[in-house]
Amino acid sequence: MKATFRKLRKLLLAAALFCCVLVIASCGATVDTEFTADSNFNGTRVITLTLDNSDLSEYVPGGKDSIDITIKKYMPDCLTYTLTEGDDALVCKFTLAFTGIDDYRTKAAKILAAEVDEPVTPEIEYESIGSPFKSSLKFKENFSSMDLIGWLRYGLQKDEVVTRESTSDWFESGDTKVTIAGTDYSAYSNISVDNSVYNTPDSVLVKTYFLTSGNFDRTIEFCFSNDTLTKLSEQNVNVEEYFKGIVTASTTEKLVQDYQTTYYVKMKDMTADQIAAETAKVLQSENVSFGSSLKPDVNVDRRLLINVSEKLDGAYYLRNDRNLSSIYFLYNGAEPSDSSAVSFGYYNDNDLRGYSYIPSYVEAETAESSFIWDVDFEKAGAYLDIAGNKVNLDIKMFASSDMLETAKQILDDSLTAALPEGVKLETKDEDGMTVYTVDLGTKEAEEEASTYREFVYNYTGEKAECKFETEKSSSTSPFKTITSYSTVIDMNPLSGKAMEFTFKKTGDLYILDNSQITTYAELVKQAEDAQAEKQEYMGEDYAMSEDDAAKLEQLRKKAESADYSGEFYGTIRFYAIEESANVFAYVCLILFIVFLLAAIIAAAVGVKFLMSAKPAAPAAIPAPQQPVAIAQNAAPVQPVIPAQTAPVAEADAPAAEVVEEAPAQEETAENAAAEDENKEVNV
Amino acid sequence: MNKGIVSIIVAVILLISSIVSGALFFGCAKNPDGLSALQSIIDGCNKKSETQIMKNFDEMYEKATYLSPDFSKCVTSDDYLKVLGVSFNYMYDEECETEKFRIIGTKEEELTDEVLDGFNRYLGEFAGNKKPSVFYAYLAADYKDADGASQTAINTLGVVALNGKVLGFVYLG
Repeated sequence: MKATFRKLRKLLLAAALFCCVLVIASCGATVDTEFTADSNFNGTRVITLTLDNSDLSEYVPGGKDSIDITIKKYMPDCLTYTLTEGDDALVCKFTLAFTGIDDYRTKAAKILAAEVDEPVTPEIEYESIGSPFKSSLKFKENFSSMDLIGWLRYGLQKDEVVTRESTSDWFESGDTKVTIAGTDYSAYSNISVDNSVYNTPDSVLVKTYFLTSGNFDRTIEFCFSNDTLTKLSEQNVNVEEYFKGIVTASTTEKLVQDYQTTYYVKMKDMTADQIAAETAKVLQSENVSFGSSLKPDVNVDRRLLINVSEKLDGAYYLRNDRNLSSIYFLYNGAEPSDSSAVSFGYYNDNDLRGYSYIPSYVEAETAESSFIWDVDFEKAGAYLDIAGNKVNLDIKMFASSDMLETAKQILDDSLTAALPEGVKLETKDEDGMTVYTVDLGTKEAEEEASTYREFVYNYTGEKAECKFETEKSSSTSPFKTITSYSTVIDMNPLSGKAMEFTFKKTGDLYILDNSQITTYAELVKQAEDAQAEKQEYMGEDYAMSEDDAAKLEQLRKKAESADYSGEFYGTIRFYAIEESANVFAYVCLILFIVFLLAAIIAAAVGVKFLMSAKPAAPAAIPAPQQPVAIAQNAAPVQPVIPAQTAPVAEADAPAAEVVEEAPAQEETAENAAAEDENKEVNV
Repeated sequence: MNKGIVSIIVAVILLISSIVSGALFFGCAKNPDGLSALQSIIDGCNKKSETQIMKNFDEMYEKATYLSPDFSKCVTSDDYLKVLGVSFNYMYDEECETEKFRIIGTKEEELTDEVLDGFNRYLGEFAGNKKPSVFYAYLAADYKDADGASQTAINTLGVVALNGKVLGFVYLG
């Protein structure tokens, strides 16, 4: 009996305690929330506090008026309220009216920043999209209505309106109703709504091309899996037609592959503003911008600084904003600075480097990227003409005729400033290129080399090797002269690409094997072999691209040049010999033969004179007469005639005949002597 | 008598003139020491004659160059030249066919340290007390390219010669 009584007593005690808890728990104000917003997020958040009259009389000695005073004293001005005293309870309604998500964010932040015991930093996520690809409603907060009336709890406690030690447990969360765009969603104290259906592309890629005109091309690529396209098709969404329907200044294309289909929206040659406007249309977002500026770097020669700012929003299409990326293809050679948002992406079909970033990873609202562009010529070349000791070197620099005007001006100014004294710069347009010719003039080899070195140093600040050597060498043939040419020109500072070299030929030029020039004839052969290989590999269907055909044709044209020409990288190492006729050798040989023959003839004549003079004189003396003495005196002259005629006779007739004719010659001599005698007499 | 003497004097003058012009003419084809040996070596390559090649090298050739030419695997004239350490770029194109090698010219060099450094110092050292002659020879190769067209390639060959024979040479390509 005693035990039963003890048990009953314990049970009654527990029941009493439970009742006490219930009484304590039920006392205070209930806080209900009704959140209503339309599709543009215009609406109200109504927070209703309901305080039973019994609680009011028990805990609020000042009654309704004291609460009213506190509200007026502490309520942030973006709230409105009504205080109604009913039969059973006092009802206080606080209304937060807002026009759009930004307005809501601003006002919520202001309310939460009021004097409170436990401050809250608001985070509000909101997305409401109804597109063919995505029906999405997301609304999440990290605070509740209890937090939004934190200022009231603080005021009631501070002004001791409520006679409880703490007001923190005097408020109780009630119901929360959320209605957005006419649809009701269930929610608890911190609102969290997520109601989305996705048929989105896997990725959206925005490619922007910087054009030399200063304008831009842009291609936006939407990559869908074919499964997604099938689902969209079932919902009567024709993606191709959709994109055609939303663009105004763009064209659309698509590429169907095994598992995916890519839709391209292409914008051509537009200004930055036009690009931004069209992109906003395509991405169906106002949260889009694009801008670019370009200016010379005052600290570095031939350097341009490019700044790009961009804002992109792919939320209309994408489930996850990380799948939106942007890539810039700038002018060839432009590279991002360290502080840039972009990093290296990939090369496009034209080997142009692309720099990409993911907009959602950028903390700032607008992604800022800066680039450094060291402007350079597309190619360079050296044109050499050597005549004797005189050398003429022309350096040609080529820039595309449609190069960005600012860049072209920088190159022009820079070249002009680098010209050594007396060196000319000529500019002309040729085959779509602007050709800058630096004519170093015709000078002695060392002087020309020095002028080249000076030009390179002025232009690049780098030292370059340059030497021209021309030497006469011996040919194994005496009738030929060999001139050897040895030319070394370091053109590394001017260009890192393949450069042209042309040498003006004057005779038979042989290029030595150790020259490091690939002739255009060799390049033609290499190109033809490459095409033949492709043809063999790909079969009869293969056709050379227009670009390749044009390049090959250009090479062929260059290979037909009468001068020696080809391509090289970095440093020209040109060694050649030129064979020409040795006129001196020909003259010497002719003189040698002529002199030798003449010497033989003269020697023969002399010998004849000497031989014929001694025996002829006594035999030819006639009978002593008056004039004989005179004739004797004239005797030494007598052999002249036979001596002169003898070699001719010897040459034309056999020796025996010469012997037989000899007396006749003596008679002639005698006659001549007689004639001389008569002449003496006559005198 | 006077005319005879005059004729003789004239003959002597003309003879001297012919000697001078002859000397000048033959001077045009002045060849460095060792050129004929080199020509014979190159001709030996054309004829694929190991004997002709080797007899034109100085007996110190192998010691000076550490080369023991092995012509046993040589088939073409290219192979003979390659054994001597000389080749042309076109030889690496199988479609090209050599017709003939020839020397087309020379350029003499002083045997300075600079030149010697360009060659193998051993070549100079093996010349002993005698001063070797050094010259560059322009070696031409007439060949037919892949299209059958006649071409000529030229290489510069550094030659060290001693006593009319080749002590060694260095390919400068």
